[in-house]
Amino acid sequence: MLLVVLLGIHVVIIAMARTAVQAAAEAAASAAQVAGPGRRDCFGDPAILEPARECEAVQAAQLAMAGARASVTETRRARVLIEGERGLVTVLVFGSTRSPIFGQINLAAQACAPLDDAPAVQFAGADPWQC
Amino acid sequence: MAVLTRPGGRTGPDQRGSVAIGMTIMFPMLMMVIVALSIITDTARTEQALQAAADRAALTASLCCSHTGGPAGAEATAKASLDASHHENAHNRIFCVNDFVNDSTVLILDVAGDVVPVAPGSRVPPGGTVEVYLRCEIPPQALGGSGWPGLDLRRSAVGHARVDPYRFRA
Repeated sequence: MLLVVLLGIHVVIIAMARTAVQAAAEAAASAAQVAGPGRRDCFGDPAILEPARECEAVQAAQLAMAGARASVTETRRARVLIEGERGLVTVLVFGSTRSPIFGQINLAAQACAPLDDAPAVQFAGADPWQC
Repeated sequence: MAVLTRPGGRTGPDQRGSVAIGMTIMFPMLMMVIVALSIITDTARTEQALQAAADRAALTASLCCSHTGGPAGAEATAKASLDASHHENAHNRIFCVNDFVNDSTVLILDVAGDVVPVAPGSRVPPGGTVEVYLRCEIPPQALGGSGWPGLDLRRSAVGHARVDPYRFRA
């Protein structure tokens, strides 16, 4: 009986964590999409400039994961892959949660978005949309 | 609960029977609760995917184009985004049994809130808004075979994005 109750708790915890990680990935992809090309100081140090898309995406993922820390904790820095030729940015976000049955469970979510400087005619094809 | 244990601390045969009957009744009910939780969480994921698709379509349309209509226009781009989220190999795929792309509506509003007509020569209004209204009918399989009482199979989402007035558009 206890196992069944724990199984129910497990289902809910995993669903909440998956939702939170996916939401963070979507937020990061949107941030990267809007950021545009160029470089900016990501961590408040003007001497260190990073690609703006990567910087914005990582910060958006961190903020989203921090907001959902009751459901999931970030385990690794988000990975941002920019494919200029395809006009696509892909973001991978990593998190983990703790299930009462299986212990720590690692989760990852992926989201992609077309780059803001990709030519509009390219959007009719499949390339800017497929992760 | 007055007489649950013998003086030795062990459960009597009658009480063991009661516990077994209680378990027999409670176990299927708890399993039903778990199945219901699973269905509800799956529905939440579907809604999340729909909202993400609406937001992505609106944002991409607001960033991409100088004109509302035409093959490289804002509306066509928003529809292409929706179409991509509906495809087989897309991540976070949306399952809809209706004509998801054509049943959805893309509206482009100017700063005053008036609808800008979708035409090849019509410019995307600076400072305006792109709104994407999605309508999706989830297949009943997604909600436990034949649906779930109280859960409607039709879902909708609205995505908004502001058109940056200072952005250069080719």
